[in-house]
Order: sequence, then C-alpha cells, then structure tokens
Amino acid sequence: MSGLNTLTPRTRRRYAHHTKPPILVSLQQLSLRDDFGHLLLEDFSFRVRAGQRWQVVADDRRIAHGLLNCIAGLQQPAQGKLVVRSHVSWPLGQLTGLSGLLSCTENVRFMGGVYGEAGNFERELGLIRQLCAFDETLWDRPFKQLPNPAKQRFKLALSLAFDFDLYLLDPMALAPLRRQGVWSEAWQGILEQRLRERAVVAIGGDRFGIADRCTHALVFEQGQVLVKGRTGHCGDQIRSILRLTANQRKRNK
Amino acid sequence: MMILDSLKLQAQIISALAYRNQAERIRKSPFGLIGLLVEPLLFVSIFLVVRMLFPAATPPLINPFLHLASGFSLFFLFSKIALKAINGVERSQRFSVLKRIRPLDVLFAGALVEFRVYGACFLLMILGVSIYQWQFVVAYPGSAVALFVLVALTSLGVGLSALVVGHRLPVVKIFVNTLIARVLFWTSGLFFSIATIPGFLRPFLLWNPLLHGIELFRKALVPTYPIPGISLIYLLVWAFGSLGFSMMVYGNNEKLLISEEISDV
Repeated sequence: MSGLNTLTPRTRRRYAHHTKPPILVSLQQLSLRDDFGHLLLEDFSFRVRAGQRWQVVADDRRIAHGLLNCIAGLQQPAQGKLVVRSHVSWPLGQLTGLSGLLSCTENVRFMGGVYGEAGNFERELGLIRQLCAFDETLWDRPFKQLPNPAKQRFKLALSLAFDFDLYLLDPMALAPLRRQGVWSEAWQGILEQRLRERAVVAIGGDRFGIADRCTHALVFEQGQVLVKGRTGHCGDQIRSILRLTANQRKRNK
Repeated sequence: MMILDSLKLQAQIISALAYRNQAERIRKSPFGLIGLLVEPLLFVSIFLVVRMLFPAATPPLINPFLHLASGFSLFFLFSKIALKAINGVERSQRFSVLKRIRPLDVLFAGALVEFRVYGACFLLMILGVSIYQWQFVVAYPGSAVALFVLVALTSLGVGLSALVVGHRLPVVKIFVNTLIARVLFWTSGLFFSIATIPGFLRPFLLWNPLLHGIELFRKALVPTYPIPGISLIYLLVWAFGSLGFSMMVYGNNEKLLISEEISDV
C-alpha cells in the first residue's frame, strides 16, 4: 500500500515510483518556544506519511497550536528542521496573505493562479460563492472593507476550495461560523469531501467530527509525549483523551 | 516531464503574483491604471522643462523628448526591478503560509509588472512623438525590445545577487541601494549622451552597464546616434553573467531566505 491514492494528482506523479507511503512533512529535532520565549517542546521529531490522519492533543494548548503553526509556516521553530515535501494547507480558516486592497473575486483569482489546476479559478469561485452566500455587492468590495464575519466565512470557504495532500485543522476556525449560525450541511459536506482520503493533522477537540477516522494520535502531557503512533480506528480512545484533557484544563482553571 | 510540469506551475504562480501586484498598484493609485502610466510621463515632462532651460546640454541628432524618455524608462525599469529584488524578501514573507510561493517567484512577478508598466509607458511616449512628427520614430523595433529585455535581466541579476550576498553581509545591500538610487542616476546617461562627454571622462563612465543599455537603445531608435565606446557584448556579459551568478547564489542560499526547507509540488 503506497498511499498514492490519498495524494493530489501532482504529488502522485512525483511519488509514482514509491512503494511505501511518502513522507509529506517531517519535523526533525524541533524545539518550539512561545511568544514570551518559554520552551514548549524540545528535541521533538515527527513525521506524517500519506494517508495518515493525526489527532494531536495536549494539556497545554500552546503546544498543539505551536506545532500546527510550525507545520503551516506561521511560526518559526527555535531549533531543528522542518521539511515539507508535499502540498500542505494552512490551518483551515486561518489564511493569511490575502490582499486587503483586492476584492473577494480578485483574491480568488490570485489564489486560483497559485493553487488551482492550470490557473483556473472558475470552479473554485462558484463553490466559494455558494458557500459564502454573500450579497452581490460584497464581491466587488475591497476585502479589508468586508465585515469581520464575512471575512471569516470567505477565508474558510477559500481554504476548502482547493485540494491539498495534507490538511491542518484547528477547531478555532469553525467557531466563528458556528457562532454566526451559518455552518450548514453544505459546509460540512465540502469538508467531508475534502478530508475523505487526504492526510490530516487536527488539534484540539473533535469539532470537525473526524476523530472516528483518525488513524494516529499524538498526545502531550506536561510538555512530554505520552502517546505517539498508530491507534487504529480509535475514536473512542481519542475522545476519552480529549475528555481527560478537557477535565484537566477545568481543574487547572 | 516533472521539470516541464514544475516550470509550468512556476509560470502560473508568477503570473498570479504579477496579477495581484498590478491590481494592488492600480487600487493604490488615485487615477487607477491611467495613474500608473501617467506618473512616469509626468516625471519625464518635468525634466524636459528643466532641460529646456539648458539648451546647450541637448544632444545632437535625437529628439530631446525621446532622449529623456528612453533614459528615464530604462533607468527606472532598472532601479525599480533591482531595488524591489533587494528589498523584496520582506514582502515575500507575507506569503509564508502559501508554501508554493518562493521568494524568487515574488521577485520575478515584481520584475514582470515593472517591465509591463515601463514598456507600456515608453510605447505611449513613442506613439505620442510619432503622431507629433507624423513619422514612426523607432528605426529598429526588434533591437529596442531586445535591449529593454536585456536591461531588465541585468537589473534582476544585480538585485538578486545583492539580496543574497546582502543577507550575509548587510553592508552590500546598503551599498548597492545607494549606488542604484544615487550614483547610477547621474552616470547612466539620462541627461547626457556619451558623445558629449570629454574623452578622458568616458572610461570611468563606461564601467556602468546601464549606460551601455540606454545608449544602445537610443541607437536603436535613431541609427545615426553616435555611441563611441559603447558595446553590446559588454551589456550581454553583464545581463547573463549577473543573472547566472545570482541564480547560482540564490540556489545555494534559498534556505536563508525562507528559513525552512520547503518543496511544495
């Protein structure tokens, strides 16, 4: 099983001769610090292969967020090396790099040029329009002038419009949409479709509803790795870990 | 096959970045697309008025407007591309989450936009002069386009080399920034022709490859324009030499600019 069917066509062509599932992301002897310079992780190594679905749980949420942001390129490791050999998403909904001066349509055109197949963006634009369901006037307004809820909706829709080998999931991204009451079956359907076969690194609680399908777990306790590796279809185990950490968080508070 | 695939993807990314860069500039300009083109035209017109105050400095055999327009278009093409390349990494860090975009793509896209803007601007000036004189004023259009491209390649090569070397030795960045913004402005033949410079001064000025580009460009417009000591070979060596050198140092130091090893496909 080379796991090639879990990759995007471009990456599949690249790894066509591989017999083992290719490594998509590799963290080598990584050290992470928070914004105040406190050491979060030290000498930590981690690999994600094609098709693996990781649930990362930590009693200290800065560790899980730091790890996800580091893979996404939003945070620099204090030490060690990050090697990305695939097409990795940004943490869904946390897209940076959009131009505030350009309209939503122009931003989709730009992103389509970078991530779309052969630079096309019409299909993606249709999907984003369907998901966002904005008033027509908002599409031509500069992105920075959009109301915040519309911005959040647009960012998440844009994140779901393109295909990646590895998706990074942060439940915080969904919170604004749930608060706005716009998270519908259409959104969940697209999310399910995107994540059906791809590799995933998810942090925090199971708000994406994919814990049942996670194949690997990475659990940190007090900065140390408690569980790391294959857990089979172990939704119940992961959920119990999540419950434990949630209880611990409550106790800490 | 993979190489072709990668090249196609890179061209697609550069094109998307150029679209975004151009659209942002149009949005920032108070007069939109017209403002983008009119700004350099106004600049040339102001210098033309200043120039009229010193008629002795007007070189022979070429329309003074064309003389200034060619100098300014090529100089600003060179300086904008080179300065953008030197200072471009900060800008490209905005795209750190979009792993497919590499610093080189941002630089190429910036160069492409400058090439389009100054190319269109010069074309407008040529058309204006041609309509005014009721005669097409470019004798060798092919040579003129080739020289425009050569100057753009030289600027990209110089800027990229300064960027990478300047990352290790910041003083190089400051030196090249000053050199382009100050020294080259006065020594690239924007206001003078090499034929009007006394012979003993020429060897000092002829070190400047931009002077060769600008004077050869004027020669492509007016075949009788005198260009003593100017060499196309010298410009070619600078264009391909600097670009080759910059690609080599960039290839070996890319990790410095993006701090983690990324190979998105």
